[in-house]
Amino acid sequence: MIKLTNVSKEYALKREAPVMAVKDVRLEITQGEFVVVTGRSGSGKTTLLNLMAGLAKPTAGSVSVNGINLWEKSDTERARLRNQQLGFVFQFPSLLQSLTVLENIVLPLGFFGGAANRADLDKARQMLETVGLSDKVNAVPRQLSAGQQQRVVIARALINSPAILLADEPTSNLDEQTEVEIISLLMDIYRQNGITMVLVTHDGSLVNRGTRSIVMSGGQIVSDINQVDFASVQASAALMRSDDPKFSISDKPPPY
Amino acid sequence: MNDLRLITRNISDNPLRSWITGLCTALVAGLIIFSYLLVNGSQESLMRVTQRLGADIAVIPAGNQIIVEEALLMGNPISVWMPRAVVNEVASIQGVEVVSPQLFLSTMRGASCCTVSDMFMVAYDPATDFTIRPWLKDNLDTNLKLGQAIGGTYITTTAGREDILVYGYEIDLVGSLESTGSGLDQSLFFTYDTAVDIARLSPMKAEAALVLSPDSISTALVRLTDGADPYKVADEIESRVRGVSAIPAASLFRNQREHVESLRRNLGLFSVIAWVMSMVLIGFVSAAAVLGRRQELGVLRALGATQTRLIGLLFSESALLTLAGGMFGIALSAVGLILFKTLITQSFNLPLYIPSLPEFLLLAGWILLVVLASVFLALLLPILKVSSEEAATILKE
Repeated sequence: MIKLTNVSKEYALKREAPVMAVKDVRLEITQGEFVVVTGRSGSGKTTLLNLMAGLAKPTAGSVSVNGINLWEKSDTERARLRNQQLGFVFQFPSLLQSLTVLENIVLPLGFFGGAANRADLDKARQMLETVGLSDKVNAVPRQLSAGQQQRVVIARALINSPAILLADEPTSNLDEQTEVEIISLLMDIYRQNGITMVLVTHDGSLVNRGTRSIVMSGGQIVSDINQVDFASVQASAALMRSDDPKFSISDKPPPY
Repeated sequence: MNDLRLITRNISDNPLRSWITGLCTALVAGLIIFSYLLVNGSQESLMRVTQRLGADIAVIPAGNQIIVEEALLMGNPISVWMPRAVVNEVASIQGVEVVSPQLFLSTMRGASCCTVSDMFMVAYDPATDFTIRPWLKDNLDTNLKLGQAIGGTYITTTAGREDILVYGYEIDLVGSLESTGSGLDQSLFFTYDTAVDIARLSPMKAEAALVLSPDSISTALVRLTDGADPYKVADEIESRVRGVSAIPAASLFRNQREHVESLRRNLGLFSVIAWVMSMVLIGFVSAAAVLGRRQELGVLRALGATQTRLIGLLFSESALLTLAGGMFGIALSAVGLILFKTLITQSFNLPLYIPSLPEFLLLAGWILLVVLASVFLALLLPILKVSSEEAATILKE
């Protein structure tokens, strides 16, 4: 599904020596995996995610998604792939402040599919219901809490029914309770859809939530453990539900 | 969510940038079109008046060049006279083909016997005329009869009447000349016979009599034979005919042309300064606005917007602001110019030709294009800088 072959990424800095953010990484993520990438700050986690998404061009090596070598394609083709096969959840508030919640959610549909139609809007409303914000359809981002904004971002990431969801420290700006809710929501999405998910986090406690755990250090993968299969995640989720009241998994069917 | 909605939302969410861009473009577009209309309108008017006279040389009483020119351009009523014998003297000079005398008259001020107060009037000699006749031939296919007149473009009969009262004399208006933007647009042209008839009847019909001297004229318009040098012939006229000034057509309205040229330089300089300052300001404000939205642009890239689309969005925002501001500025200038035309022409002491609507729209379109191109140029650097960066780099910040 996602394949990085000897990928390196170097950033040139003004008045300083270039920084090698990712060094000779080989990685293959298959369909249905829930990969949790951890590591200390500056270890190259976010750069790795950006490389997977074609948002950063590798200095060396190649990146392919579903067999498509991203950097052999045009900007339009890469954009189309990002739009239709990838969903993004960023660590910073990434909603467009000038748009309403509903408009933010349908925004990706407009890039390759024209203006949102009634079905699209219905789907967006359903997404909002799933993330528990059905009453915020016409709100603007500044009227929402950070956690609510992140829920809208998740709904936006899923509007095009992507095969892969890339989440870059989605809970880093949230309080503990909201963090739990967001992670729980992401796990729901993963559990109910079999979507491939890559979650970048510096929070070591989340390592066991995924099917695969990758640890990065100094731009390299220092640990890559395929720890559980999908069924085990379900089991661990169930266990979590009984052990820790903070985590809950919805029984509702997914909207997509 | 279509692009237009995204663009309009971004415009309303960046009021500082939007207002500055809109006002600057309004100022620049308004100033450019005002300067252009004023300068070119004056030049066009001078050219049209010269063409209307249709003469190679105008012979006028010596020392009266400025007031005769102002009478023709501004429609100021004047009474300058020279002996009719001048016509024959000028006609005898080598290189002169035809000499046609004209008599300048004016209506009374605030008198009920005159429909239009202080109207400039020209009585011409149909036997020698070469300025009015071509127009009559093309438009009416007949000569003016006694009591008939043609008027400048702004001369019309009042509601309920088919004639114009001049010293109580009922003048039948049979046609209107094309606009020149000068005083000739508010002038009346009729034959000498009509002028004599008006003068004859005026003691009975008017509050004051129109007094004409049968041996006086105001100007003698000269048409030269092919190949004759207007300057040499004009010199010859001045040397052989006493008490007259002979002005070649190219030298007619020289003061006004110099005035227009000076106006062109000053307004041109002012427009260029305003243009440069506005573009620098727009460039800075827009650069700040674009750079302030880098993360948003990175998010849009991540969500599937192509680089081209982002550039298009940013340029479209500016284009919309520029067009709105530019159109406002142009409309304001045009309306101001039309509403205050009299004040402006009197202030600058120049005639002003207002172009037709299609001409104006074409000009406005060109000015909008120029302003749009300038704004794009001012924005090019910040937009290219942001759009050329890797989305990941922008997102990291």
